[in-house]
Amino acid sequence: MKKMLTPLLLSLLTALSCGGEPAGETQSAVVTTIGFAARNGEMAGELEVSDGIDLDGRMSDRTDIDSCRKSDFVAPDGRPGIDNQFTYLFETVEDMAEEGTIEGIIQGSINGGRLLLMIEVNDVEDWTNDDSVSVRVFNGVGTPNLASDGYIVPDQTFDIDPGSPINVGTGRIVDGVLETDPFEVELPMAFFNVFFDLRLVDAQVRANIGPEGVTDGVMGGAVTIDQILEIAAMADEMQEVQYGGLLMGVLPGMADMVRVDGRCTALSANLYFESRRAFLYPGDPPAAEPESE
Amino acid sequence: MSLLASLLGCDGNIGSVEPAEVEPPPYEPEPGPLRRLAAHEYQHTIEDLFGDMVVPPASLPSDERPGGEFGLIAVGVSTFALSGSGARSYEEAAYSVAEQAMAAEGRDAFIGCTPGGVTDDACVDQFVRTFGRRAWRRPLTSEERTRIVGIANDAAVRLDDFHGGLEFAIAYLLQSPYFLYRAEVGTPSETHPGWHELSDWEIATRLSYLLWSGPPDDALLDATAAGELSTTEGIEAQVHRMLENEEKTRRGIRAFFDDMLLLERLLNPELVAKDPEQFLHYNADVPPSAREETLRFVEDIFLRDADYGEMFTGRRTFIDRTLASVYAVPAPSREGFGLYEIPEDSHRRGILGQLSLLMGHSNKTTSSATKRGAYLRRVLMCQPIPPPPPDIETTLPTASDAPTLRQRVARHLEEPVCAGCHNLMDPLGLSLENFDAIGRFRTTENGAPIDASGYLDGRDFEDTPGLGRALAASETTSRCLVRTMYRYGTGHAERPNETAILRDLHDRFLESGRSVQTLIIALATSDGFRLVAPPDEVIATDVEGSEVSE
Repeated sequence: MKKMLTPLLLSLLTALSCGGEPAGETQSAVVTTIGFAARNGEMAGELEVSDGIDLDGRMSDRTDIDSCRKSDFVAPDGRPGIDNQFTYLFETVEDMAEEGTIEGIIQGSINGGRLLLMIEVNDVEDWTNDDSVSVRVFNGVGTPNLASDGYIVPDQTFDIDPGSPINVGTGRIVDGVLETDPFEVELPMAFFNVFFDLRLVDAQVRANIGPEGVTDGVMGGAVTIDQILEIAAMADEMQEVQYGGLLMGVLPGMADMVRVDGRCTALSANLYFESRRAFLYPGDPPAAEPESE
Repeated sequence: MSLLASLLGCDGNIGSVEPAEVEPPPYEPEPGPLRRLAAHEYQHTIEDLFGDMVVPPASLPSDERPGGEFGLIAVGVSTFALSGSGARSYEEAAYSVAEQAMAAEGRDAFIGCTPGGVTDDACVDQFVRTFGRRAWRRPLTSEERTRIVGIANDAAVRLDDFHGGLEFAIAYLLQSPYFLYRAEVGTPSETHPGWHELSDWEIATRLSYLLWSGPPDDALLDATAAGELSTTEGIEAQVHRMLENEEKTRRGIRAFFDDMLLLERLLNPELVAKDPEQFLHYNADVPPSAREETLRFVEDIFLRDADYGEMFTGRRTFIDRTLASVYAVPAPSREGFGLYEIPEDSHRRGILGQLSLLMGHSNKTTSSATKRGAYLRRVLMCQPIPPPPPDIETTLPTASDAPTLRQRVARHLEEPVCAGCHNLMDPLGLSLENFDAIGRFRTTENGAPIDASGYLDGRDFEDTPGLGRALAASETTSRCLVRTMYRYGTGHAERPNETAILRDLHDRFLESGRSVQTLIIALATSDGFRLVAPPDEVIATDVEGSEVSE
């Protein structure tokens, strides 16, 4: 049923985002590499340095009850208030896995065309400063050619994956940096050796942008503990190492977002990415395969 | 040294090969060449003779271009002798084809009769009569048929296999000079004493390889047998009929432009290799796609019967996903090639914006105004450019001293030793500088703005589209196409005594609005297409034809 509704939903979203005369230029980009942003081991005063976004608009330290007493980080460029508690979980899992395994799986998915995350910026009148642009984040479909540097060749054409959601947000460009308002994002991801849609609550994008579109940046948001446990359960079924029990014990102590009844129920997480300009085929994407009984 | 350059022809006078306003000498034909089938013609011939029964052999004698890299293969096949290894390649190819044909399903339908035993003279003779006429492009004499039937029967008895015997007969037919070569000797003309007229069979073969790059079909052979090619009207009727066969006409026009535009170099990775680290968009798929784009582009001009000027100004092209990436535009089709209308504000125009020229005539890491300019001059304007003097210093200043190519090649244009020739090539090539070594559009080079302005035939222009308009407006390019088509169709480089024919063909080409279809019809019905000098008056021809002036 979901797939049957998808083309209708897609058409509706397309109409909503592209209705009427286009107000400005559009550029699409395909993500060529992506990974979880983590602490880089440096300190800025008493605060640790990690790439990411100030997702909650607060400067939190261990006294901040609204962030469940989790200290923020400082971005490498000096921006304060970076929320990224997922770094601790990521580092734990990374320690348990062989070095480079997670990145390798993700890169393999991208290069193989199974994870073609695309970011489209619309209604741009000025690629350096524009106070109102719209953003679509969705999955692409196609077989990418790879360049000599091992990443997707720029300027290739893909289809929108009719079977994955299109996430629509608004934002602005400030001094060549795209900043979006919070919006809901589902990203098709590979982690724990399983493929899943990572739901980022109140997601934001902060990325360098120019006339050829988004080039690199960070996408952050809150990942609920429930979702992480779901993913871990899927992973547990596929491998000998069992993550579920471990995570159930440690996750509540890591959470810093989505406070419900005095408890934080989600972890702030950030994904860094690099992208290259891409295009979409004109016209409707090919029809999805009929759902099997 | 400038004197030497002038003597060599590099005096910067680009109008030196333009037609002089003098009456050309009366037409006299040249001897008919003995043309070996070029590799692609051989393959097309096998395809037409055997259809899907056979995979045409890929290993065939290579075809060379006369006069260096810019001559036509269509002329080269009558210029260079076949080597011993080349002859062996044909022998192996003949047996491979024959074996496949006789092992294929449907062989009896192909043969046209059901053998009555290990030997069956009537069945073999019937096959040799029909297949032999198609393979040798003329009826076989009774002596020839008897010999081939004997070959088939001897082999069949030894092998105790009718089809095994026929395999040898087919291999014999395919190794024969009558199959591998196109003899154009003719017979003494009654209306033109002292000259020869090609036989109707020779004309039929000329027509089919000109229009279809392959052998005559049964309809053409039947028309020939009926004497219909004895008149100009009969030839023209056949040309019109043949042009209606779109599949074969596409093949023919592709073969012509493949030869004229030197597109086979795009299938040689060594000739068009680029630095993959410098050019992320470049991979091994790009050059073959670039060749296909240009072939589809010229095919489209021809089939629409459009003005040949579109070669330089056209905004209709055909690209696939690989080329779309290089052009930085959305691919028009998910699979294969699709029509792409180049936007009005784009700098790409006609072949001037296509990778076959831009990438195919650049260096590994940098564009080359000299190579691109030489290509324009020699291939699209038919203007000869002598090689550089020996021991000349060709090193250009570095990019740190001169960021743009225009600045770097300025030395070429200032030093008398270089200027004579480089003034012919570099200014044209510099007008393509908005495209890098793989043909990606750019507005700057090493941070400096690119100046793509230039001049041609007294016209100043600002950019590549301006160059395209100038080339389209120039009679040099239309005369060049006429000349190249004439060489292609007759298999030899024209000489001054053929100037009158070329001038007439050009007039008709212009009158038709530069219709390439009309040019082909005009050529096929011209005296130059059916008259030759007697074979005993063979004169050594200059395959480059550089001495010709119209």
